[in-house]
Amino acid sequence: MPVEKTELLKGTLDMLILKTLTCGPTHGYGVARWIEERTRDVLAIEEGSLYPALYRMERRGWIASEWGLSGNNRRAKFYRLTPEGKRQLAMEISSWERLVLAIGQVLAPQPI
Amino acid sequence: MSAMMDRWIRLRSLITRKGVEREVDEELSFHLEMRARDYEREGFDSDEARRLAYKRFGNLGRVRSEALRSEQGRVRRRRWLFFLDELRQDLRYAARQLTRQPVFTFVVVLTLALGIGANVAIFSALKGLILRPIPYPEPDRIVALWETETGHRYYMPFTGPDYFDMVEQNSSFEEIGVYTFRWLNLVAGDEPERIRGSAVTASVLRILGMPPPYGRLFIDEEEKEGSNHVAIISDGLWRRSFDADPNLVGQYVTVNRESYRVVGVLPADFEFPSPWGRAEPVEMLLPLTLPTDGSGRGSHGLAAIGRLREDVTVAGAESDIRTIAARLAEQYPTTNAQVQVWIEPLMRRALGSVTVILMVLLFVVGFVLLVACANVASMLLARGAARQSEVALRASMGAGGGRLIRQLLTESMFLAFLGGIAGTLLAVWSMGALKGLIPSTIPRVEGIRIDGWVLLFAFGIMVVTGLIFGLAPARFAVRTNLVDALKGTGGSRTGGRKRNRMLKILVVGQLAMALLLVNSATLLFVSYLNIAAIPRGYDTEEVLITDISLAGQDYDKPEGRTAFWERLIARVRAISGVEEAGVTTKLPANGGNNSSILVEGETYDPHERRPLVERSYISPQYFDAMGISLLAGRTFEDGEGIASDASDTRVTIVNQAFVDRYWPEGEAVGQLVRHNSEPPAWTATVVGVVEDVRQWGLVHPAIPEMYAPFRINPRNSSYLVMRSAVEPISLAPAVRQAVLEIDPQQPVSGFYTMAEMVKGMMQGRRHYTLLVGLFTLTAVILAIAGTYGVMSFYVTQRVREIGVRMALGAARSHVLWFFVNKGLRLSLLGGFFGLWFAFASSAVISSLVYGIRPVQILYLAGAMLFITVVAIIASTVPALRATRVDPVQALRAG
Repeated sequence: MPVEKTELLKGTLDMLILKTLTCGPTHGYGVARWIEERTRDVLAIEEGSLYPALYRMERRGWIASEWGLSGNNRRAKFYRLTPEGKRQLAMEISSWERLVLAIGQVLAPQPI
Repeated sequence: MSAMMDRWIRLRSLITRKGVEREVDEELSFHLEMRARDYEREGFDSDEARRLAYKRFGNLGRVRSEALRSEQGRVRRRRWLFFLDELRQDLRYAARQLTRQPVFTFVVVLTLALGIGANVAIFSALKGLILRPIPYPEPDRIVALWETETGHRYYMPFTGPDYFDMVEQNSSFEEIGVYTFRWLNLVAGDEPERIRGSAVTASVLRILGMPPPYGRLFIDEEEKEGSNHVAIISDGLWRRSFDADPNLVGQYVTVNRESYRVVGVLPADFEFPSPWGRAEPVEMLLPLTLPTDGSGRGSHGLAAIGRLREDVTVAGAESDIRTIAARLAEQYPTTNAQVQVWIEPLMRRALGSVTVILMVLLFVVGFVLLVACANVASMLLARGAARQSEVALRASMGAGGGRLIRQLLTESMFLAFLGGIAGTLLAVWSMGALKGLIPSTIPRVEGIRIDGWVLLFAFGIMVVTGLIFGLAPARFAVRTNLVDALKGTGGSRTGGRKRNRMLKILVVGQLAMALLLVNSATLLFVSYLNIAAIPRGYDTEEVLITDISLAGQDYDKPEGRTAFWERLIARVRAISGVEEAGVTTKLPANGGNNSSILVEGETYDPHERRPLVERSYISPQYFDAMGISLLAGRTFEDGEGIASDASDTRVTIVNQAFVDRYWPEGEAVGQLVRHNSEPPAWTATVVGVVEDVRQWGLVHPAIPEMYAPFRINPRNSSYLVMRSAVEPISLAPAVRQAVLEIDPQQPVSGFYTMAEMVKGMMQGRRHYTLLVGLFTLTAVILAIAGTYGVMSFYVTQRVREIGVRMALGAARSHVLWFFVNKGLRLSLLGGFFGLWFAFASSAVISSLVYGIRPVQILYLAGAMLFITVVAIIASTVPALRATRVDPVQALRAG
């Protein structure tokens, strides 16, 4: 089932990760799986790039981490959204929507 | 608290780079394994699943290193924030502790302030005088050159011809220059002013290398007769007498009644090297015109400096010019057979003995600080015992040993900083007094101040003292056995014993240092008294002096000078209140000039070194005016000594030291003395003997001296000496009037009594002795307080034991003896180390004292007795108090 993959727009990975974490704390692999399922594998995310993004966001205080046990009883690092991360997500979503709207207007068939 | 501890433990696992790496690796491999497992579920075999997982992950190496970098940065920042957080807590805790015990805090801060303040003050003096760079560019290459008798390093000035030969033949110096000092009479306003000037070769200013802000330096041509009427003035004179006129350069000023064109103004921070340690700053420079015909090879009167070529060492340059000196000795045996040369870096000469004094003071204040540290350490140790349960409580709540040490150290650092700040304020406050203590002959005193470096030094000793006095008590506090401490039984036996040993060491150290300091201070004090008691040979209180320098055409010929002095003496003697007045070229205790002579029975030999003899030129009334007694023969008669005919037999008066050297057995009056040359430049008959006057300062023994009638060699600059029947200084207006009546253009500088001059000489030494005494007293008080504190702590610890003994019927004297015995043993031990220090330092001490041997059994015994008494009192008083306590109460109190 070869699906044509779309490159992720720069800067949108953070937004996706933050969005993922709104459903509750999860580990890096969980984030990867969630994005994969929700986008039905359309987005070509190099899974490795998740991690520098996670660390960067933790450093900025948007997310926090804690070691815990995964579903299969293994030690895993769980990330959760901080209040600051929530604000950041809201901001990113609204600016994303403005972008989509603007681009949509450009691409829409012209009336007349 | 426990949430914080969790955070701490977690962070600690991350402290190492390894810890961060391990966590990142664990997280990444978790991801890869999960992905591989999912692939396996989809039906791939395990190897393939693993391969796919890696492929899907992307560039693992890059991701890992990026993640690591990011994570390490985060952890570092967290750790720093956490540290600051803890520090803030510790500081708040420390502040609370210290305000809760204000008396304790006050005593500790005061102790430290004394120790640190003394160090900061002395360091600032050291830095201002010695460590501060001199203003000349590349000052290391500037050296002073001296001639000397062969085999010595005397400070003998240069001669002009020797200087020219050195300039021509040396290969070590960029340049050499010579200069000499002159009193100049400057007319800038209405009043003539007498200022100190210097005649310099053009090279001198080039060697010093400081460009003038206005005008220029001298050029070589200006050393020649005819073009040498140019002047360079100091910044100070420029501001004082010329209103800082920027157009002064090119204008003419009147100096010694002749017109000089000002060609330059020196920079404000210019320091003229004054090798003879005079206080007056040099305010005007004139070109030095030296005879170029080779004459005057025997007359030593020039200071010399040089700038070494790059890569030439002082030793190398010295051996170079010594070769030249050896050549000159062969060429001109009459004058140079016994002349050698040597080199000394410029600054060393300028500061001379002050360096030693400051070093000694620095050592003394160092000891004061050590005593202060020991003192505070013992106070903290003792308090540490009282705080055991508090520390134990914190430990039981999970604070680790390191953490507790840090907390206690923060507290001692906090104390050290309070003490340091108070001490620095103390140093600032005492700065004015400190400057007054330094003899005014020492240059650069104005450079002593509290600046960035001094503050850095203060900060440094704050940290060091905080560590010294804080570390041991902190370690003891933490080692305490938890259970015992919480039970409140006053600590485990072993911990207590160790602490007591530490306290004993501190007491012994303090007593040892107290003994050393008391002994040294006594030696210095006795030495000071010895110096003050040296017989001077002249009167001080009733003798008024003024310096007069004649200048102008009227005084070019000796007759003119003689006429002036004789008229002046006659007029001054007529003033009512003046008992006697005379003139001399040299004051007692103010250095001098000298030459070598031959007496009957000795024959001239240029290669034989003859000891030096002082020479003064005086008017007949000088001895009476100064109060120098005539021991044999007569004084000069008015009109004796004829200036024109030098070959005639002259008359001379010698001092007792002269007689002791040459005719210890026989009669001195009537003997013949001649100059050490062939044919002799003069021959003189001894007509009288006077008592000794110490010409080279108080501690230098009198050397043989010859007095000659001043008419033989009337000088431009001489001292008018008056013996007064009234308050001496009240004579000044009349004397000034007398001078102006003879010559209205002749300036008269200040008046002073011999008492003031001698006091000036003693002042530096008195202040220095006082300062050592003061610091010693501080250290001794601290040591007494420290010993008392430790002994009373020791007794308090045993209050219960005392109670038991007393209850069981022990005699009070028995209990007392127990503690006094302890105190005695400590003082004996302290005394032993103190004696050892005293013997070890005797070599240093002997160079600082006068008229006393550095090891005085009596003083050492006295100091020993002193610390023993201190120890006995310090142990008796608290023990006595303890034995008075009701046994029942004591048992409960335990």
